[in-house]
Amino acid sequence: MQFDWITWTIWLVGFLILVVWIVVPFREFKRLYRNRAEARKALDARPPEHTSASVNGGDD
Amino acid sequence: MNLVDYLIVISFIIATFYVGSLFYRWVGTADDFYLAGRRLTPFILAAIIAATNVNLYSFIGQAGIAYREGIPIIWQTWSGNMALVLSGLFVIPLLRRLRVRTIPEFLGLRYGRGVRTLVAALWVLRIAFWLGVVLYTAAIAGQTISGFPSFTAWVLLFSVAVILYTMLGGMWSVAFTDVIQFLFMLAGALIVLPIAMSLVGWWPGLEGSLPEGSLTLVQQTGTYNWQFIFAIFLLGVEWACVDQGLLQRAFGAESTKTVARGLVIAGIITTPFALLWIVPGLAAGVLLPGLENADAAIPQLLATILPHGVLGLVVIGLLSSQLSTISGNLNGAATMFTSDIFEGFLKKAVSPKQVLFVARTTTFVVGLSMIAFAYLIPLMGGAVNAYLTIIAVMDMPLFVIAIVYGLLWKRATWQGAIAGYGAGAVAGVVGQFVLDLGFTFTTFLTAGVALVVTPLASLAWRTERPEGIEAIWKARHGSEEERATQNPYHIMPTTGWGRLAMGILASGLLAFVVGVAAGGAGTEEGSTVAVGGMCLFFAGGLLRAYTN
Repeated sequence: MQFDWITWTIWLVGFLILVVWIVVPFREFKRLYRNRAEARKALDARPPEHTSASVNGGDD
Repeated sequence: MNLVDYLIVISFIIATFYVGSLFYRWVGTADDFYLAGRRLTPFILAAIIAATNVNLYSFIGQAGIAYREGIPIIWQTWSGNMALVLSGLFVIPLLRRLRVRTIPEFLGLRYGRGVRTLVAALWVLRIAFWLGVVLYTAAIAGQTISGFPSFTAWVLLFSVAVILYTMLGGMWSVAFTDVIQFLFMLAGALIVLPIAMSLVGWWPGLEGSLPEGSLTLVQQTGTYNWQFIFAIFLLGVEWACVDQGLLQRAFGAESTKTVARGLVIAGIITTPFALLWIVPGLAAGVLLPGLENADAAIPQLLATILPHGVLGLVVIGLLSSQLSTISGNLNGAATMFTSDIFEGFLKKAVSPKQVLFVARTTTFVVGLSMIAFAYLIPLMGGAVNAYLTIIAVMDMPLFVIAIVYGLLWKRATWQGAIAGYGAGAVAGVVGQFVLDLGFTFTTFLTAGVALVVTPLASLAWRTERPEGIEAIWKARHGSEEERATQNPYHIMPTTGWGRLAMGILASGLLAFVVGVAAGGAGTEEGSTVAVGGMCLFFAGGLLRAYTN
C-alpha cells in the first residue's frame, strides 16, 4: 500500500500547530504571571494609602 | 459512551472550571475583566481567536455538509480566514487605536450616545440568542454521541461551569481556558483523522469511493458553487470587522501591531485545521452512507469508530470548541451591557467595584437567557435556520453603518445610521420571512438597503458632528500609545519589505478571485489557482504583519 502523503501532511501540519501552541502561549502566560506578580509586589511595598488601587492603577 | 468516557468528560469540566476560576484574583479593574488588561500577546491572541471561531458548527455542521455535498463547504472557513487577515491588517488596528471595548462604543464616538445604546441593547439580545443556538447544538450533539437522552442534563453540563468561570475571571479566564481548549480540540481532530482515513483506504480509497466532483474545491453548479464562495467571502469580511466575540479578543491585544499579528496568525492556523474536520466528514460519506440527517454524520462516525476512552478524549475536544465560544460571547455581552448601557446611561458615577459587580451579574443573567433560548430553538425550525436569520437581519446593516460609512464617510450622521440600520433590519425580516429569499440574497438585500438609506437619511437630516469623529480620522495615522512606546503600526506600508508584502497580498487576492471565477467557468485549474492565491495571500499577510 502506497504511503498516503496527503492525509499525513494534513496531520503533520496540525501536529506542528499543536506543539507550537503548547510551547509559545504557555511561555507567554508565564511571563504575564511573573510581570503581574512583580507589579503586585511593588504595589504592596508602597505606603498604605496607595494599596487600595488595583495593579493597573485603578479603573479607567 | 461508557463510564470511562463520562469520567473523562466530567473531570475535564471540573478542571476547566478550576483553572478558569483561578483568574478571579487577576481581575482588579474593568479592563482586566473585559480585555485581560490589554496584555494579550500574538500567539495567545491567535489561539483564542481560533478557539472562538471553531465550534461545533464546524465539527458537526460543516463536516455534515461535506458528508452530503463534498469539499467546497471548506471555503466558509477558508474565506473567513482570509477576511480575518484583511480586517486584522486594515480595520481592527484602527479600532484598537481608539481604545474602545465594543463596536457600540465606537458607534458612540462616531455617531453619538443614542446609536451606541440602541445597538448595544439589540446586540446583548442577539448574543444571548446566538449563545442559545450554540448551546442547543451542543446538547443535541451530546445526546447523539453518548446515547444519554436527557436534553436538560447536556444543557447544564455545557453551561454551568462556563458561566461560573467567565463570571469570576472575565477575559483572563476566557483567554487561558481558550488556549487549553484550542489544544484539546486540535488534539481530538488529530486522533479522528487517521482512524477515519485508514477505514476508507486512505486518500486513494476516499477518492475512489466518493461521487465524482466531491473533491473539486471550486464547483460550477450545486449549492456550494463559485457564487457561494464569493458570497461567503463578503460575509466573512463583515463578520471579521464587527463580531463582538472576535473584536473583544482583538482589543485585548497588548499593542496595535499585536492585533495585526494575532489575527493574521489565527487566520493562517485555522486554514489547515479546517481540513481536520472536513476530511472526516468526507470519510463519513463513505463509511456511513445514506444518513437522513447529515448533522448526525460525525457524531455517529465517532460513536462507531472510536474505542471507549479515546471517545471521551475526542468528546472533550468537541466540548472545548463550545465552551470557548460560549465564554467569549458571554464576556462580550457583559461588556456591552456594562460599558455601553449601564456606565453611560443608567447610572453616571460608579465605582470600579460596582462596575465589576454589574459585569459579573450580567454574565450570569446572559448565561441564564442562553439556557432559556436553547429551549426555544426547536420552535424556530432548528439551529441553522435560527442562526442564519439573526445574521441576515442584524449583522450586515451593522457592518454598513459601522465600517463602510463609519470609517469611510464623514458626512454620515446618527439619523442616517439609525435609519440605515433599522431599514436594513426590516428589509432582512421581509426578505427572510415574507419573500422567502433565502440566506444569501436576504443578506445582500439588508446590506443594499442599509447602503442606500444611510446616506440618504444623513443628507436629509444634517446635524453637528460628534467630537469623537476627529479622533477616528486621526487614528488612521497612529496613536499616542504607539508613539509613546515607539512601536508604530503602519496601515499603509512605509518600507520596501512592507510594500513587497502588500504586493504579494494583493496578487494572492487577485489569483483567488481569478481562480474562483475560472472554476465557475468550468476550468479544471480554477481550484488550484484559487487555493494557490489563498496561500500567496496568507504569505503576504504574514510578511505584512511583521514589516513596517
